[in-house]
Amino acid sequence: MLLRIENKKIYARYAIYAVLIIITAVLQNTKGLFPEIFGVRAMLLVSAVVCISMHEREVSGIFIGLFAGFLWDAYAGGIFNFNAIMLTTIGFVCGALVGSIMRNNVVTALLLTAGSCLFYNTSYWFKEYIFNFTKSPGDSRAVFNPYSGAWASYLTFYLPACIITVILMPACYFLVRLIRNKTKQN
Amino acid sequence: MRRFFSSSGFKIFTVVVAALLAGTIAAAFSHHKTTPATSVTSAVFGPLQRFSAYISDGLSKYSINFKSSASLSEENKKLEKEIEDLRQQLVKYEQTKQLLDLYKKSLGLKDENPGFQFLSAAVVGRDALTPFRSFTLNQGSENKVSINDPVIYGDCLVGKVISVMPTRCVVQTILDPAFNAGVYEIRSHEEGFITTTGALSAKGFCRLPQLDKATEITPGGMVSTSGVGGLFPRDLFVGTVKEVLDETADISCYAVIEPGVDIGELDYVLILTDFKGKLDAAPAGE
Repeated sequence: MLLRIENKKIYARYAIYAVLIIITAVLQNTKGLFPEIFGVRAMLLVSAVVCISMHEREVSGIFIGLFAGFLWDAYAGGIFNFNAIMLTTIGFVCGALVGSIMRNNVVTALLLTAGSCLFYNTSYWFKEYIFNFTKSPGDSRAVFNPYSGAWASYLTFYLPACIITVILMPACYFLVRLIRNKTKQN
Repeated sequence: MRRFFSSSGFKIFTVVVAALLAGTIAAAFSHHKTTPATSVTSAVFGPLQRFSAYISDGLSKYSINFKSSASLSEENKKLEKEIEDLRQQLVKYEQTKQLLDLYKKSLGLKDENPGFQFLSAAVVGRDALTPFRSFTLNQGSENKVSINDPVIYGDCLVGKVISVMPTRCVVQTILDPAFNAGVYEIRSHEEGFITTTGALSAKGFCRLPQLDKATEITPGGMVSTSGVGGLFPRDLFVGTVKEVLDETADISCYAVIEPGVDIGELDYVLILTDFKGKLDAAPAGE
């Protein structure tokens, strides 16, 4: 009987996490639902995955990241599972770091969120702007040809998105902590 | 470090990422360019996406966005310029539409009278005190406008030119008490001349005076120019008989005529610079 109650708390916690991830995905990816600051949107899913992974460790972090990544890919219409791979990695790494060498507090959460956002955004920017090959007419070889204005977009869009995400992260952190405390096993 | 790489967490991570990469490679070669997981997630959460888009549309008027004032100011200037361009286009469109309307109405007249020479003109000014009695057009002697040239709208008589400058001319309308023209009533063929009084002119009417007591002209009758005198061609429509009243000064009657065109609303007219049977120009009033 006691075990079933404890299991129910665990199931409830993960159900709440799933709903939180869904709501965060909707807020992040639906234009107009969450304020844009100077045209830049916060990456709420990244901070949600980081916060949950810090509290639940690496294995849960993997599946939370996987779920969030699939949702993001569905919204973004992204092919090639980019978001799923990135968020799974972020979930695993953050969970593993907190489980082994880092403490679980808001300062480390800020550091991990900043690092994850930079990792994600820089990879995305590199994929979209830098890693570009074009073929000239009559030439069968593809030539490395980054888009012009790539650096400007990194400095004016991707970097500010990281900053805004880090600023908004503490709200998510304390919400996840509240959920965990309310559904903690005795 | 070895413990980390041999931990169950790392093994699960490796398997999951390997599966994702396999899905990525499969998607790259698939016809739909998407992974099965993405397709399933899209299908499952499709209604949620639509619902969130619906909520977003509803909240769009309340959405809070922080933009720099410089970008807002630039956007504002761009939109203002666009509005100004559109406004100018609209004005040109309205002008073109009115001209087209005028030409359409005049087409029948031209077909019936091949000798008519038209010149289109825009109303550029009206007498502020008596707006219906005269107005200024933007054509003048440079374009062969001369004094006493009839001014029409469609097949309706509006007035005649009473003074000409190189690029302007002044028109005396049928609502001016000093105006008169030979007319006849179409059904009864009774002839007379059209004129008006200050009181009738203020109401926008003309009069056909000196009708016999036993006149056959009745309300609803139509009055057109008779061509007598050579100032106006025959059969230009003047107006409709509104009522037939007794004169106070003698035993004759007069008909109150409602003009066929609203003189106050005219923006474009046609000047008949030549027509068959036209008399040479004479100074206004003679």
